[in-house]
Amino acid sequence: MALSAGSERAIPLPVIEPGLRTTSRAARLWRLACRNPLGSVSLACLILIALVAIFAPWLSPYDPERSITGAALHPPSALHWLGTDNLGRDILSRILYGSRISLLIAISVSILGTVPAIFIGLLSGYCAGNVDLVIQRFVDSLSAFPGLILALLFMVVFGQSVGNVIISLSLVNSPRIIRTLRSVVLSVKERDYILASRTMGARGARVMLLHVLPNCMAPVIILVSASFGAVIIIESSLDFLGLGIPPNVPTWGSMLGGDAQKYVQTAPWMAVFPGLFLSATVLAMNLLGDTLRDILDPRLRAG
Amino acid sequence: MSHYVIRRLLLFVPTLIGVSLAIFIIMRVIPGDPATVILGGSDAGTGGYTKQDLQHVREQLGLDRPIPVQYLLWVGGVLKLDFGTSIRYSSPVGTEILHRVPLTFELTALSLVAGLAAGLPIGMMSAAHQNTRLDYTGRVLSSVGLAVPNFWLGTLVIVALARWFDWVPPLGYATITEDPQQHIQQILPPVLVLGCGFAAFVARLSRAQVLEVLREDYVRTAFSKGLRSKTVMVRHALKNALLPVLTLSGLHVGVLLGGVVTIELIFSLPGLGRLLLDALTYRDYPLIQALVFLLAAEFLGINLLVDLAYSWLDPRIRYA
Repeated sequence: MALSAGSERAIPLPVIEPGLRTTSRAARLWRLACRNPLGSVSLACLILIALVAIFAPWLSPYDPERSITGAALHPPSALHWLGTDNLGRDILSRILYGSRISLLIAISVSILGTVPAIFIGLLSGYCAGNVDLVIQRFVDSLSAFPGLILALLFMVVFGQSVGNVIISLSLVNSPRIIRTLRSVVLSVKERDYILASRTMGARGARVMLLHVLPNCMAPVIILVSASFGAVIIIESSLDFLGLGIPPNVPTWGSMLGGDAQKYVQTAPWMAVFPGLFLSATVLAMNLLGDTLRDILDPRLRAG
Repeated sequence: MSHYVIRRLLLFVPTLIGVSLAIFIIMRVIPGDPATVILGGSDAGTGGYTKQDLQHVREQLGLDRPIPVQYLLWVGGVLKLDFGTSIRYSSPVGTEILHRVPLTFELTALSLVAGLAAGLPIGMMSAAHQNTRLDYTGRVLSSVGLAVPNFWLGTLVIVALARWFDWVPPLGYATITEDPQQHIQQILPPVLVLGCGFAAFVARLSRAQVLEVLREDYVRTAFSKGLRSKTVMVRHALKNALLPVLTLSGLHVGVLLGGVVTIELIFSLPGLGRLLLDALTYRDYPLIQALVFLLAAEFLGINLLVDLAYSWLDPRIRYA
């Protein structure tokens, strides 16, 4: 507001009449989509994958768990579009079901690995002092491990289950978010509006949650969207190594490991198709992450 | 300079202690303990061993002592390069690891070099010819390279090599002194697979960095002085763009070290990654503990070297 306290004649604020608004929300979204064709296509792909995951039982031609007798190691055909594995299970059906685990893990990790990390980072940046010191040493030692190796270690400690994969990957993922949030908080808390809010008598928790936190969200959204792909890759690596999701659940990673490696020369379709879906999903997630970063990071938008 | 180096080295020590503590704590959370694993898994009484046996093995492993004492004994051992005895191989963990270090070291070092050698030129070309067909090709390649998991790429390479070259990874591994030709045949495909992902990362990063530097005032000055664009690119843009690429590449080594585990499995190479995987599947606790510690230490060490190189290249860091 460019109003000084003494001025009598206030400058009238521009009034936007509803009828005069040229752009509706839908139109603006459409323009945003047109300006980012790559991001829109990726988003469409991800929505498609999500729909596949939701409707897998209706879309799959066969039961992913059932072995069809006499149909082991069939190459792709009209009957089995992507072939069958060494136990006579339809690969397409298993891939469709496999998308469920990948999306479930990606979504759960982005919530479970982010929300606590946001509060820890906020605390670390805002409180400073000893709290900060302890949290940062903890974060330092967690991020000293290569991601996959830390996840493997956790899986052996916790035991194999879907829940434990989510916990492991959340632990692997959170140090980066804690660190980023802390550094953003350090700069945000020096701003004038924080000072203003304190002058009005706001307490620590109120300032943190109402004023600091909302202004730190952009980098967090960028980080989380960028980590979707990486989370899926680590998860499928765990499954590939046979130390992730229990073996009876069809996942893209486990379809690529174990028997697929044994039969890779005679039945390459077993290992080729699941990887194709896995890579395409990760690619779509990465491209969407890039687009979100371009939109949310004004510093890069200029370029 | 020396001041910065000393400070950086001093910071390395507490982080390493933190890492050793973290591993030790994680390993103690495991339900049951190594003694039950050695004796055969199930609970005392139901298995083929008695409570006395369990007590005996625990005393042998030092598990009956208080946990802080156990930690100090382990750290003391590590300082003397004594990592304890492997449960599975019943030989010293140190020698098991030492056998396999050269292969994994060769694998990661060559992948790093290959990744930088391929990624940097691609990224620079992309930036120099922004929004041309060359740039789009480079960007598509690096996006795809980042999305393809290395264990799938490795599988595809194996299928392709068998199809078109009749080459199947042999079960036995030959060191470079035993059979140089077979050694190169064995190490080249995994190096290319690991290098691919790394190159994609480097290409993308160096493109972004060069573009950022090209917007700087000193680059405009260099252009307006009438310097040829090649000179500006190499002398002014490249030098300044390289530094962040170096740091972030150091952090990406973690992905490479994780990739070693899957790639060594696919190409049946007996390196540290395979050893770790075996140790994890057999619950060989002393071996797991030592391997994870060494891998984390290697990761930290590489980043320490990167930071030191950074300070050597960029005087602003040294004197800050």
